[in-house]
Amino acid sequence: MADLQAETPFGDLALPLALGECRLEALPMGHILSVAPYPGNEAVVADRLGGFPAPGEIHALGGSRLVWAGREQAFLFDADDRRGEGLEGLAAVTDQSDGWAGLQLSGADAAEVLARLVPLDVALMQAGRSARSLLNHMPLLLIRTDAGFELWAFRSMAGTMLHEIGTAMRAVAARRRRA
Amino acid sequence: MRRRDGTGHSIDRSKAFAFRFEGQGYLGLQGDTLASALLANGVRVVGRSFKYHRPRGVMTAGSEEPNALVELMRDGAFHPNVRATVQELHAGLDARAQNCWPSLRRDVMAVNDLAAPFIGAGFYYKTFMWPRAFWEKLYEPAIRRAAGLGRLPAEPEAGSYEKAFAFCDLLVIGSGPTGLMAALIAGRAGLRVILAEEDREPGGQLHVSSGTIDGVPAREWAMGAMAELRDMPNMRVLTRTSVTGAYDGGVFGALERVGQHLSAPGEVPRECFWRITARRAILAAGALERPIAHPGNDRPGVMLLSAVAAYWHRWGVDPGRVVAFGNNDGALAQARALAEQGMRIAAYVDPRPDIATDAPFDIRAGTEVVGTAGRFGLREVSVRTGDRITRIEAQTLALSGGWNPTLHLACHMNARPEWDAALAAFVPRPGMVPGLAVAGAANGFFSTAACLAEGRRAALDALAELGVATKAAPAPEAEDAPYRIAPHWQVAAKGRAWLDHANDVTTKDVALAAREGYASVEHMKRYTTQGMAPDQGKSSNVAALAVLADATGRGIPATGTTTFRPPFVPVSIAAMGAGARGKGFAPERRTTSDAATRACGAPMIEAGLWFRPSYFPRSGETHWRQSCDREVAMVRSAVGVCDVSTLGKIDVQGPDAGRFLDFVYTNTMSTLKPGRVRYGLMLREDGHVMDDGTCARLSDDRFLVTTTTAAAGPVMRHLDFVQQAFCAGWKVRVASVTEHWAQFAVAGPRARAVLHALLDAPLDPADPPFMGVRDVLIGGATGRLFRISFSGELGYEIAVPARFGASLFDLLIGVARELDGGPYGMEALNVLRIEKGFLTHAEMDGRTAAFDLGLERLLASGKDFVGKVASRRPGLRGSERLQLVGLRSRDPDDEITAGAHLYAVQAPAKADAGQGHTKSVCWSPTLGAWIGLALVRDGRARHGETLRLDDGLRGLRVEVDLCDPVFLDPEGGRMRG
Repeated sequence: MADLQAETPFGDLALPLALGECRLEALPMGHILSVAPYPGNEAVVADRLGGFPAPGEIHALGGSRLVWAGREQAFLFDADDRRGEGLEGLAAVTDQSDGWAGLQLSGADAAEVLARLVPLDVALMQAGRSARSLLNHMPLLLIRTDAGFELWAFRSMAGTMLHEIGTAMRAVAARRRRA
Repeated sequence: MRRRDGTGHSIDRSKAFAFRFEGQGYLGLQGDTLASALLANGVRVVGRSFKYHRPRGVMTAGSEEPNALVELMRDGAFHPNVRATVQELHAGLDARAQNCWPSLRRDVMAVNDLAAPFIGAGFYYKTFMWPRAFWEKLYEPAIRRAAGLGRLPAEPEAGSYEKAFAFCDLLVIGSGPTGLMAALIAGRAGLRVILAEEDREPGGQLHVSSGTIDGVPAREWAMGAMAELRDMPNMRVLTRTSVTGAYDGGVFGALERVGQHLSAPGEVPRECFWRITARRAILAAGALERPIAHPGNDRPGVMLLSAVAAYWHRWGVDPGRVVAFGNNDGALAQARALAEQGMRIAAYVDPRPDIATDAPFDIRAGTEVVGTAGRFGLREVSVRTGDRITRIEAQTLALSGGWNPTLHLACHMNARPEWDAALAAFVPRPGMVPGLAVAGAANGFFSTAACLAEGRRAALDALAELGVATKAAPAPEAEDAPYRIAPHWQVAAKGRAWLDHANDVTTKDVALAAREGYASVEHMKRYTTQGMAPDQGKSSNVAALAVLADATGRGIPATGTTTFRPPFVPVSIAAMGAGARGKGFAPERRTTSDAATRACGAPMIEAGLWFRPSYFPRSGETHWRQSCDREVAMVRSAVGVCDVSTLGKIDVQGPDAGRFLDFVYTNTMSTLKPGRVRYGLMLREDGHVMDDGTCARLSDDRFLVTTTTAAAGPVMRHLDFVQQAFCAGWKVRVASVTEHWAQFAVAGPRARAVLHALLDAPLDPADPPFMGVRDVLIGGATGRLFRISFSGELGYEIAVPARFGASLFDLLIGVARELDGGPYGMEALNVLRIEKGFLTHAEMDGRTAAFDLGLERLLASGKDFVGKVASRRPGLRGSERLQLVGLRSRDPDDEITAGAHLYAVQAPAKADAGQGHTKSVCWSPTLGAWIGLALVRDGRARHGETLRLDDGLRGLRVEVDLCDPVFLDPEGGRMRG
């Protein structure tokens, strides 16, 4: 009998990180299901789930969130309420929980930091919106919340993710100190 | 020159600090540029010219400076070609002149100047033609040493740089009267505006204007406008920022000097390269004053009139006695204004005969400058009125040959400007860059009132185009004098007259180009190098083509301009590459076993972006081969554990999943039973092999596709494309789950014992069967157990959610070690698979067809699949093809190498005698021989034949026998267990 210990994507990397007017912290590993309705089933899947996001949208479903995460695909975050069940034959449902490393970037300069890494107009992004983009060279799922920005990238890239965001945070903080 | 008392609105006289130039200490003031500080200290010679090594001084007060390029020392490293007119002074700044040896004043290469009659344009091409071999070895290195600008630093740049993205409704480029007016109107209307200004201080020409705007001194008005703009939440003011290029889709490049002016920038980036996406843009970059080509016009002390005015107003630099040489009313007005403020104007010289002559200084109409004197700085100016030449004592000669609109950005998408004869300048046409309007002086309107009106118009146009209704007050009242000019490009007199100071190109060089047939402006440019220096000919291009037009008699409009290309100002490569240095170059992908692997001392190698262990050294092992051989033997005799999480894993779901896989794989997957695994092959559309791997059927409508590490991305992209483009209506979806699962190979005769010790329930040897899969519980977690082998041994792969990966790896190697096993790395993995004849992308090199690899039987005949038609093309099969074979050296001690070519034993090592080449090789500890996989012409029919392996790079010649590519256990009894 084995005793398996769970390890977070960021392990012993230095988090949280607070620099200038910006704070970076790890998001807890949650339960993430990707939901991709088969062609023709979009309406019935939306009906079963209580909604399905159009590109860039997020639907709050009780304690979980259904986040647009790519072409004809949404990620169901914190899906502990078994919402992902019962979609057999209607949608492809795939457990992605351990594939993604999540960070939250918050503070007055969060958009300035992201402007160094993400080629999107993040300053205009409204809470409750999502986007697929790049974090420098890394694939990114970006979610704007009331608290700041959630950045989800591949688990294997967690170290690079932290390195890149930390570099941008240091530069923005240094500029702010000069101003 | 010296600093005047109490003047200079850009400097702070209470903050003085020391700096060095050419090793000599000076004092400068907060707000100085290096150029203004040197001028205020009376330093006139700041560099040597490119070719003739003539002493040169500061000529301009902006980024267009052709002369004052210096090396800046910082952190023990130097930065070449820094423009002293742009570099702001800071405490401890340490600059050196460039292109001189041993010193600025005594430069031995100044001998070039004596040889000037012999080394005009084209001299190299004509002189250094013979003997041919000497060019590369002797002439070119010698010329490069003698000519040139700064030295290239040998060390990588140490400072930090950054890149950033910005977005706006309106980008306003330039903050003179036009830009400020545009920004005010757009900002007040609520647009999201970025105002980019190259200078430290916004205001442009208003800094040196003596006029008023709405009754307020111009500079005060500018400061008031800036205060209002800075208070707007929708306004972003980027000072020290040059917009460098206009690109497709409303994207502009811009270079911001962030920390270059700080003595201790710390973590502040030196520069930031911005990519600005703007819905609309207004180019309000003003105009650049141009010199007049007269003999001796490159002497230190010969400057642009606008620069003399700027140093006077902004930095309080007194130019001494000044002769102004102009051909336009603006120049005369400027001279009058400066004289009123106390500048000692000795004379104003103008070739036009009909100018007003009432002034507090000597005005000489119908006169031109024909020479200058003074070894290291101007002492005297010779002027000619009719036939009479007189000399005027002066320290500064201020030139104004008119103004060229700064329209470069408007031309960046290859539109050409048009010639305006009244302005004697090129002006932009409408719509040269989509979404970009040119306004103010950049558009050929030179009075302050016209600029304000132009800024207002451009902003209102942008607002209308963006659908924003607004009311704007009329433009403020300001000076509106007409611009009158009589073009005067060059003075007809004896002596060299420079056009391009930066590249040492004279009027004679341009005339010579025309005489020798290089009469097109593009040919003249390349023949003379005019306009090819770091300043890109900003103050010489128009004059040079005017001189060319004179020489050819074609006129300026027919002569045309050369091509304007980004960047508008030099951009350091460090800024463009910011964020991509060191670890920023590419993401690192780390497996869950990474920390434990490193703790074992395993050297890591990169596979794609992944880091994988090469081998796991044990104490006493001094060479990788020892570790590798041991690990191979360990797997063959006991058990080994290897992290294979990097292989691509793609979840394919849906009622049509089987149908979809039948279409992307060459073989049939829809007949696979749940719980079973099949080897599969994918082709590219062109019929060549794309990737191989296993496909597991997890349930009726769910499959898991495994790809090679290298092809994980491409295969995912391919499946995505096929699904969208060819079968969008099918009920199938694909999702990458590579990152979700940590997966480990457990291989060797004792593999079962390892798993038996760790699984929650005992392991049934028959479940999963060979090429089977099932869910298992391990430590309470649900994992997947595959019975597959890439080593030829009894093998399993166990996958668990990645959070448990590190923990499972520790447990697996712990148990394996108790069974005389342990972890193995990429080297051993490679040997194990070569011994079995399994393929990697070393063999599937993008040029191989299924036929070549002996996989033709996998091309199912009863169905269609991607690449099927193309795979049947003539030439993709047959005896001419290079086919996969095994090979081993005849003498087992003879090493063989990958990438070596194969020939008949006696044949020459020539391309047309080539029989093929080796792809993968290894020392096989199992067989005690050097073995390899190779592609050989008609190879499958030639097993048993002997060829010569010839590795020309390593000087290796070995006789090898061709054989079947499966060296070990061809029946597969070992892996079937």
